[in-house]
Amino acid sequence: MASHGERCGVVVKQCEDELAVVNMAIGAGHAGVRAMCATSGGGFALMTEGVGMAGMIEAPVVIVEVQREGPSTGIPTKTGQGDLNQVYGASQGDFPRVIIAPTDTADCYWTAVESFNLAEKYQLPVMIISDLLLSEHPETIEPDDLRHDVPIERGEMVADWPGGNGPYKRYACTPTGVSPRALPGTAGAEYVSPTDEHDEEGIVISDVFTTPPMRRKIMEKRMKKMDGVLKELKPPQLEGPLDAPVTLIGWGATLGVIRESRALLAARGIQTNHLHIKYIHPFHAAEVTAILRKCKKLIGVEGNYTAQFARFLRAETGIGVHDTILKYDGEPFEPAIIAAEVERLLAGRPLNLDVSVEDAREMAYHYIRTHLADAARPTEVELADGNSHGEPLWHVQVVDRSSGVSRGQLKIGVRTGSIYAWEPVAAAAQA
Amino acid sequence: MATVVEMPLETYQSIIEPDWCPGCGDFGVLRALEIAAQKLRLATKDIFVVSGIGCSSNLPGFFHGYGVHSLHGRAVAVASGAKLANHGLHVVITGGDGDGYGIGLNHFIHAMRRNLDLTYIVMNNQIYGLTTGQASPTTSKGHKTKSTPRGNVEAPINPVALALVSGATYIARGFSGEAKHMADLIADGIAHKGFSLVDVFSPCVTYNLINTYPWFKQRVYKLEDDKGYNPADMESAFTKSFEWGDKIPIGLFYKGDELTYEDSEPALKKGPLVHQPLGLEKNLFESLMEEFY
Ligand SMILES: Cc1ncc(C[n+]2csc(CCOP(=O)(O)OP(=O)(O)O)c2C)c(N)n1
Ligand code: SF4
Ligand SMILES: [Mg+2]
Repeated sequence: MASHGERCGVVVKQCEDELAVVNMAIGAGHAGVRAMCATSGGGFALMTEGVGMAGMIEAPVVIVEVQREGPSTGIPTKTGQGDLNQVYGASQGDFPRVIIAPTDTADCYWTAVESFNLAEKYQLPVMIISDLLLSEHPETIEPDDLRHDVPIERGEMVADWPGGNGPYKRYACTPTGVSPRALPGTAGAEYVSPTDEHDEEGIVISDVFTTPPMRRKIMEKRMKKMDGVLKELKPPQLEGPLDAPVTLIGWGATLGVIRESRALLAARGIQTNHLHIKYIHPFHAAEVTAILRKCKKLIGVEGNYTAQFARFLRAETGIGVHDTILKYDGEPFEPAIIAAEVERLLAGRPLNLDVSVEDAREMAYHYIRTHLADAARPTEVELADGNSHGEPLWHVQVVDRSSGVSRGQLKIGVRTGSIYAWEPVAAAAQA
Repeated sequence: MATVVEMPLETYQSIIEPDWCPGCGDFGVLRALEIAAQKLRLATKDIFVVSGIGCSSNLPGFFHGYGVHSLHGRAVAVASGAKLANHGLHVVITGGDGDGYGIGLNHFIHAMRRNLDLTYIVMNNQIYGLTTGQASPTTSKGHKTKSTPRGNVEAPINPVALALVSGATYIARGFSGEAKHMADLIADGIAHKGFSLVDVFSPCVTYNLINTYPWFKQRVYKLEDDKGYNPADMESAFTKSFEWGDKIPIGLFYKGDELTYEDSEPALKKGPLVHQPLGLEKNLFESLMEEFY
């Protein structure tokens, strides 16, 4: 993007930290340009106070949060969907904001267009929650899926403010909650936007005299904007037969993989339908509730440990999913994985988190890389009873990579995944 | 020659009365900023004052112009974004020592090496005023504050020296007891192309009972009165920046000349970004698409 800046009229600024990033973007949005920034989980954590500021001073800004696998630095090279709680919970207090989870590559383009329009029309922060897979994978799309003549909607603006008008009220209480915006530089409309609570003119009401009714009305004014936003967003629709015995519920970039898993399942005679959520906040609670009430077995599919979206869905609709298919190993879902899990759930088999043969081999490779200078490879893997370890073990035979001579065996706990022992073949035996 | 009518000082005063403690140094800074704006004949619509959080950061509300009273420590970043969006605005940042030299220090340093055309006025009272008297990054060693009851053990930051090594192109120090002198420093800072720092001794009369008006009055002297002093010479600026004790210099420490960030940014060649058209022309869009074929 930076290399296209001059041609496209875009200033790209790399900053010292994400605090600077979001605050610069907000300053730019407030001053009247379309401003956006992007980061991943850790950077977004630094941005959270700024998100609330944008809500409070009603500055348009678009923030992209590309989820990787947390917690903390986690697996920054791999994908996941574990930041929903963080994005939804970002910043103190209640303030208007929009959260959109784009579903595929072309949708990212249109989500950006829509996000800027919403940010400006409703003067609020819009967060796009994506993930590493969606943001960084190459994909072929139809050129016609993208167009140059995208709608550009800037919302109500005040071009000038003649003397006789009385003071310009930047935060005028209106029926929609949207206060027509004058950009800095507009003659006669000078105002200051404070992060402290303020009245219609932007005068702070946060100190000795806090004026509770004014605070109440200005809160209501800001929050009312969410009604307008919700009306603009397309409600989600159920894909597949309504009477299918299974409903898969996903959000964001798992749209394609869930669709493909349904095709696999259909080929095996298992009918499913699919509800996919793109607009996280504001949420189409009424529409989603109406759909899910008619569905049968609800299975949430998402890339995190605690089923963050399922919890969110329950909070919004009162509807809990019956089961979940969760992934938190950094790898994206695959259709076959989802399909197998659906079959397992339908068969009533319990979730098996044991280390599989393939897992044991992968873990042996890790051990070989880190402890044996990558000069060996695993061969046979055998199940053993484990004796004193209190769990069965995988015995993994490890041989020299070039000569094939045995180097020893690794003992890996089937339940815990602990690498209990590396037992090298005695040097004498090797020689 | 046409005579330009000077704006009355009230032009730059908002309808809000400052709620600082009587005698607070920040009154002097507000007055100096008004005088500076008057001297430069700035139109209120083109002034954009950004602050953080603190007593000093309440200033934009008392000044008539555009502005954002932003987050603690983030004023410089918000101002930088606004300047990149509309470099036609005169962007002034105001705030405290805790705000700028503590929580916001990172942005301060990077803004100086970035050399955006911003003017940063720090009301340095060597204390957290708003939160009722804890030590700040400029509190002197040994100073007993609420958070350092046995005396501060940390060495204070030296803002002038820090600005010198960080690449600020205009570095000055004012004193609230010398509002006129400070007004000139601020006016020159605003007129200067590039990042300007005006660190101001702005006594907190309520929570800093050491660095008071009389304390400063006894010690400060103006660099301009030292006829041999040359603010173009960075080395003597360094030496002066460490002068602290019985004699403390105020005035212009250093002035350099470097290309500003906005002048080096190609996308701003066509004028302020805010006035450039939105959207992509069809042929530009198509040539971008071709990069993927
Ligand atoms: C992120 C954050 N941390 C802490 C605070 C509380 N706080 C408000 S003002 C302030 C310090 C103010 O000191 P200074 O910047 O020197 O301003 P002064 O009041 O002295 O003018 C602090 C710690 C805050 N508002 N936000
Ligand atoms: S507490 Fe100190 S800094 Fe704050 S208004 Fe009073 S005198 Fe000024
Ligand atoms: Mg202070």
